[in-house]
Order: sequence, then C-alpha cells, then structure tokens
Amino acid sequence: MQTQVVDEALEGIEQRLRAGFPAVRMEFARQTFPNHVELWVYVLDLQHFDEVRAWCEELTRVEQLDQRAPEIWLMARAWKAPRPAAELEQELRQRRDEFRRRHNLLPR
Amino acid sequence: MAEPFETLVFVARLTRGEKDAIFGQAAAFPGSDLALRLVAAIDDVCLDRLLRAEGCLELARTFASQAAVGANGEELFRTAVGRAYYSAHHSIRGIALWHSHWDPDGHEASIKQLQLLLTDSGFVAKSGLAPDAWKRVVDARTNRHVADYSPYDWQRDPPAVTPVGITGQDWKTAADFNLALAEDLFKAAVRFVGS
Repeated sequence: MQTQVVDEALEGIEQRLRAGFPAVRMEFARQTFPNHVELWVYVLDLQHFDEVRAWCEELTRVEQLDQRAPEIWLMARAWKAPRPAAELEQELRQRRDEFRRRHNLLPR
Repeated sequence: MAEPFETLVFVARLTRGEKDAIFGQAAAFPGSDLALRLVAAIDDVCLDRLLRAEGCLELARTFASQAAVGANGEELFRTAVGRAYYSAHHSIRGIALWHSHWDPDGHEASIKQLQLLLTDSGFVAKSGLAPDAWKRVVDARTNRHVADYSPYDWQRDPPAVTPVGITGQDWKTAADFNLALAEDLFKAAVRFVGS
C-alpha cells in the first residue's frame, strides 16, 4: 500500500473517532514499521477510555485493519495530563546545575 | 534563564535541513534573541543527553562489577553491555549536538555523524578519540544486539552468512569493551561541553 493511501486511511480513522466521541479529548500518534503501521489513540478523559478502546477493537475486527498490507494496529491508550511544565523545567535545571558542578563545566 | 521544555523538544527534533535553515537565519543576526535562545536550548539538551550517558555508564559499571563476583554473571554482563552501549550512544548525540547543532536521531545516523566528525583533525585532537573510534561503536552496537536479542553469543541473522560474534567471544570481554568505549566517549563529551 502506498504511503499516501495509508496516511489517508489513518486520517479517516482519526476523523471517525473524533466524530464518534466529540466530547472526549484525544491525541493521535503514528509509528511506521516495515510491515505495519501503528495508530496510537491517547484518551485523555479516562472515564471514556473503555468505550474508546472497545470502539477501536470493533473497528479493527469489522474492517480487518490487521489483515491489510501493511497492517494497521490501532492502539488505544489511557493518557494522563502531562506534568506541569514549570515543575519539569525546575527539575531539569537542578539536574543540569548539579552535573555542571560535578564536572566543573562552564556555560558556553 | 533556561529555555522552556517545548523549545528543547523543538531543538532536539530538528532535522539536519531544518537546523541548517534556522541557524542560517540566526547567524544573520549574531547576538540576536533567536541566536542566543537556540544556543541556550542546545546547551540544555546536550546536558540532558550527558546526564543520560552518565546514568547509563554508572549502571553499566555496577552490573559489570556484580557480574564478576556473583551468580547469573552472563545476564549481568549482557545488561552491562547494553547500558554501556546506550551511554556511548547518548554521548555521541551530545557531542554531535554540541559540535554541529544537530541531533542525529537513531543508531545508524549517530554512528555516521561520529564517523564524519572524526575526519576533522581538530575534532580528533579536541575529543581525544582515535580517528577510527567509530568502528569501536559498531562493535559495541553489535555486542548490544547479541546481548539483548540472541540466546547465544553470536547473532542469528542473517542466517545465510557466517554469524557475527561478540568481542572476545566471552561476555566479560564484551562488557569490558563496551564499558571502555562508553568511558572514552563520555570523557570526550564532557571535554566538549566544558570547553
């Protein structure tokens, strides 16, 4: 299958998911491998995770996504909100400062 | 002032072409906010890479020393081989990002970039690495593949050719080899980032 055709298929699945669950916050990620592509569906509203996962499993079964060439693996995943950026940045800054001290590094 | 996390992710994901275009713009305005922010973000990502390199290296040393005295030595040596290789991998990416402002994403790309950098005598002198150090990385990568994927001490694939074996054909030698490489690359990386 051509890359464009695969992209269109994945795009179509994303659109159907958004249309089927308009109130559910979701994000999508793709990974391409030699013989299959993976569409990861991150469900941010955890109370809707089970129904989204069931929808993905049903779509895979009905449309035989895993029988295509390349196969499409539809992966529903629960996803919590990321940590607050400020907290993460503060932690990273502390680690870097400590590393600089340990190795006597000066800023460029 | 540190750059926000989003900027670091942006810098770390730049392709070589994008990097050239953006740094071309920044170079036209030396001392500008864009140029300063890009360099600051790159420095932060380099340090984050070296932190990972150091963490992997420490773990590799621990596993190798435990393997030498305890039971289950082969599994511990295999783990040391893997951690040491990833330490080397992160050091290479840190060096490349610092030196070339571009993060070679992936194993093949990082080895190719090191190979390229080692053709520059100035780089060789400053890094303290031998001009053919990249070949040691290829050996270390093979050791890592065998350590993680093969039930034996050679690679199964491809089946039609002579199998590729680990360094020295024993796990202690392979772990020592990967550790020595990781130590050299980490030292080189710290030398660069500290210069």
